[in-house]
Parts: sequence; structure tokens; C-alpha cells
Amino acid sequence: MLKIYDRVEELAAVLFLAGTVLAVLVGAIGRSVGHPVPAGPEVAQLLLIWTCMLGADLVIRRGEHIRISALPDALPPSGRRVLHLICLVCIMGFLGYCGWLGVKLAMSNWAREMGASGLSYGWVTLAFPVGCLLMILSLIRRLVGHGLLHSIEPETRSAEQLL
Amino acid sequence: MTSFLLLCLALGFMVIGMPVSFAIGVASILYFLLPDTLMPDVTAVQRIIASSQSFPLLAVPLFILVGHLMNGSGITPRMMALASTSAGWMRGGLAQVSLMLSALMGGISGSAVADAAMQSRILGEPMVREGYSKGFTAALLSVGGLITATIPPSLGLILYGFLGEVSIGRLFIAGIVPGVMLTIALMIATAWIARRRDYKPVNERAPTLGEVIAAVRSSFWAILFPVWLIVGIRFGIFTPSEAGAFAVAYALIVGVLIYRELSWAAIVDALLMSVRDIGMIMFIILLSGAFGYVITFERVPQTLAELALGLFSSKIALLFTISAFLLVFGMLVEATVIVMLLTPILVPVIKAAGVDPVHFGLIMMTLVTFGGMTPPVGVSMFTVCGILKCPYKEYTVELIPLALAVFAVVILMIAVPQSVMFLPDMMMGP
Repeated sequence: MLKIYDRVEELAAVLFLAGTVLAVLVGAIGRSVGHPVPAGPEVAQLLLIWTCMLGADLVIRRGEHIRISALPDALPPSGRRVLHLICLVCIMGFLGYCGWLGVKLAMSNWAREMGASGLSYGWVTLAFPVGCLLMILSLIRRLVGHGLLHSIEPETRSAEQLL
Repeated sequence: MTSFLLLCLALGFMVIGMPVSFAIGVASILYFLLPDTLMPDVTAVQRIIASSQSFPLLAVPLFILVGHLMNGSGITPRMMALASTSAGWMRGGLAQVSLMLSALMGGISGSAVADAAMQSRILGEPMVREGYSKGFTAALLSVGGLITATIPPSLGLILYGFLGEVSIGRLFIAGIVPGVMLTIALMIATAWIARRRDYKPVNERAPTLGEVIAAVRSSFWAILFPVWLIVGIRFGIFTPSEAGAFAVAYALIVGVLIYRELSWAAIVDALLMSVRDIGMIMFIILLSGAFGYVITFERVPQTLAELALGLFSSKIALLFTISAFLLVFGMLVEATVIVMLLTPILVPVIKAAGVDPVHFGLIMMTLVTFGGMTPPVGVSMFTVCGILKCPYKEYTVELIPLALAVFAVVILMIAVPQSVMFLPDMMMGP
């Protein structure tokens, strides 16, 4: 059951990303052949925020968000647990509160239309609270499945980073 | 005052190990919750969402995807063949080949860590077998990534350009000369070390023209990529974001139709890995939206700029001071994090002092990226030493001559701004 949930979310994120590329491409080609498609960039930005929020959730699920682990690493496991607990409480509070503000914002934005595509700006806003909710669920799953010690960090440090 | 507390709070959360994105997010929402903040809390969420609704920002996810697609498209082995034909005859053959490969891959990939990881897998083992010390191998392969990160396209420069509102096209073009200078400086340092330790060339003799042409031919499509990228951006055929989308299409066409090495599974894999990278990087950018708003609202950059202008009378002195600070900070903190936190603060400061933000961007990105290759905290160092199983101490000792070469280039970049700026000024006008 959870596996299906994971796969569906991964698939959705990948499709959103592919859609983002396609939307930018259509807009760019349209512009260069003299038939501008103003909806292209708008759709791309809409899909982008969904990609970002789902992507951020997928990373949480793997406990791989960039963090500075020097101090926690230097502490014994008991100390690390305390720090992780502080972090988790703050993060949960943040996600809960901002997610709730996001819902309110999405509802008040619902009537606002984006310029060219006619889509509601609420779809953009909605990505944020949905992402927050998914992340809360993922954090709970991590906490239950991996324990407090590995709630926000992976079991093995093999992840590569970007810059 | 409040904004200073906010910065300390964010840094404090980071130090206790909270993911950087959330450290920034939690600190900024706390600012909005303060009783004497007049803005409604919902502004914070509004700023977070609004920061994603930017067309230039699309360049970041698109170029992340390009990097992952290129990895599976069969370009790397062809570039490797070209690098070893053109540099294998020099003293310290494999080491020079690795630097040449970094420079060639620089035109395709924008990430220092990805380059270092890829090279350690391909060249690490052969170099150690040829008698190169493990520390030198690791240090060289890791520092080589700096070349890749400087030559366009560069993910770091895209981020810097977005956050500092600097032209990404100019930054790209400005990266070419420093990238070449870094390559040359590191090759000289390597030649010196190779002479002292008698590291042998791989090929007996210099390549003939015919051999070079044959190698260029087989990697033609890969070499063409940075050329049309720069030309397209220069002549306004596409914006950097559109270039990202075209580059994705290009990587797919070259990988699937021309080299026929990019399978369906590899494409899905590249998409999935990109989604994760995007989730990680973009989430920090999104949550910095609220943070940046507060910093601007509290007029932090202006205050800092006035302070800096009062303290430093000359541009060069200011640049050297900021550079020293960036170097030290870069040794301790991840490059992405520094760029996100400091670009919006530093760019107004150096602009007020009369420094071109493009010039500063190259200096800043070189230093903070290099910070990832130094102890005590460096992602490139961790990655390469992890793959090669090299002790950090050996790595650090062998890093010193290479670091000196990098510093020489940075000092030249600071002291002679024209070394960075003449190409973008010439191609795009001042």
C-alpha cells in the first residue's frame, strides 16, 4: 500500500518535471517561429512548484535534505536524539502552520486567474499546502520506520550534492 | 537588530543539524510571528510561493536535468578519449588527462561534485595503479571539479545570477576565461609535481593532427553543446531558461538518436534523480523567499553597504576582505547554502562599492566551490575520499600545491578585473 503511494508520488513528480521541460520548450519554439505561446511559461512555472514540493517530500522520505551535521555527529547518540527532537518539533510546527496558512491563501486566490492560460492562481498556491501535508506524513513515517536517530538523516552517507 | 537576530537564529538552527531549508524557513516564520512585526503571517507563505513563480528560475531545474541526462548519454567516454589523446603525452599523463577531461566536461556539466565523483570512478583506480599517490590522486580529481563548475554552463552561476539579479548570459561568458586559467594553472602545478616524482606520460609521443581530429570528430556533438549554448544566449535566440529546455532536448537527441546509448530506463532514472536534486535545491530557494523578503524589508544590504564603504576606501581591499571571508566560510559551510544566504546580501554591497556583480560572481563562486574541496567540511572531499578510500590527512597535504595554483588564479581575477570581464564586455558590450 505504502509502496504504491511512493511510486505514484515519484511518477507524479517525474511527470511534472517532464511537463515543465515541455512547456518551456513549446513557449520557446513558439516565440522563435513567431507564434508566441504566452501560456507556456505560466504552465511551466505552475508545474515547477509542484515538482519542487513533491521533490522536497521525496528527499525528506530519504532523509537527505542538505544539513550541517558536524555538531550532531560530534555528540553521543543521546545528545543527537535531543537535537533531532528539537529540529523535528520546529519543522512539524512550521509545516503545520504554513500549510494551514497556505490553504487559506489558496482559497482566497481561487478567483484570481493567471494572465494567459486562464487557469486559477489557486493551483499554484495549492502546491505549497499539499507539499507541507505530504512532508508531515513523510516525517511521521520516517520517525516510525527509522527512529528518532535517523529521522532527518540517512542511514548511510553516500548521497552526492550539487554545486 | 531584529534582522541580525534572525540571521543568528537561522545559523543556530543549521548548527544543531536542522536541514538548511527548514532552518531558513523556521527562522523567517518566527520573525513574522514576533508581536512587533506588522506584516500578517500569511505574507511569509505568499513570498515562499511567489519566489517559485519566476521564469529565470526555471534554468536551475532544467540544467540539473541536463546534467543527469548527459551522464547517461554516452558523452563521457567520448570526452575521455579526446582528453587522453590531447593530454596523455604530457608528463604526469593521467593527471593531465583528468584536468583536460574536467575542462571538456565543464562545457556540459555544471557541477563540481558530480564531475569529481565521475572522475574518481573512471580515473581513480588507474591513477593509483600507475603509481600516483592516493592523496594526490584524490586531491587532483576533486580540485578538477572547480574547472567544470566555472566553465559554462555552471549551476552555481545560475543560482548566483538568479538570487543577485545578475545577467546569467554575462556570467556564463565571464566564466570561460577563469575556467581556462584554472585549467592552465592546475596543469602547471601538476607538471611540477610530476617532474619531482617522475610520474610518467601515458602516450609515448605527442598526438598527430590526424589523431586529434579523429578524437574531436567522435565527440563532436558534445563539444558543440557549449558553443551553441553561448552563441544562442549571446544573440538572444533564447534566454538561459529556454536554453535549459533546448539543452534537455539536445541531450535526448544526441543520447537516443546519435550515440544510441540512452535507454528508456536511463531517462526515467535521470528524471527521478533530477526530481530529488530539484526538491533539495529548490526547496531551499523557495523557503529563502520569505527570508530574503525580511532581509530586504529590514534594509540589511543597505546598512552593510554603508558600513563597508566607510571601512574600505579601495575596491581591491574590499574584494580581498570579502574573498578571505568567503574562503573561510566556504571551508566550513556547503557552497549552495552560502550562495543562497549571502548573494542577496553581498551583491548590493559590492555594487555600491562600484564592483561589477559579474566580476564578483566569478570570484565568489570560485572560492565557495573551492571551499567544498577543503577540510574540515567539503562535499567534494568527502565524495572523492569516500570513493578512493583515501585518508583526509593525505588528501589535505597533497591539496596544498593545487590550492596555491587556485589562489594564484583568484588573486589574478581580483587584481586584474579585465581578466574576467574583457570577454563578456567584448561579446555583449559593457
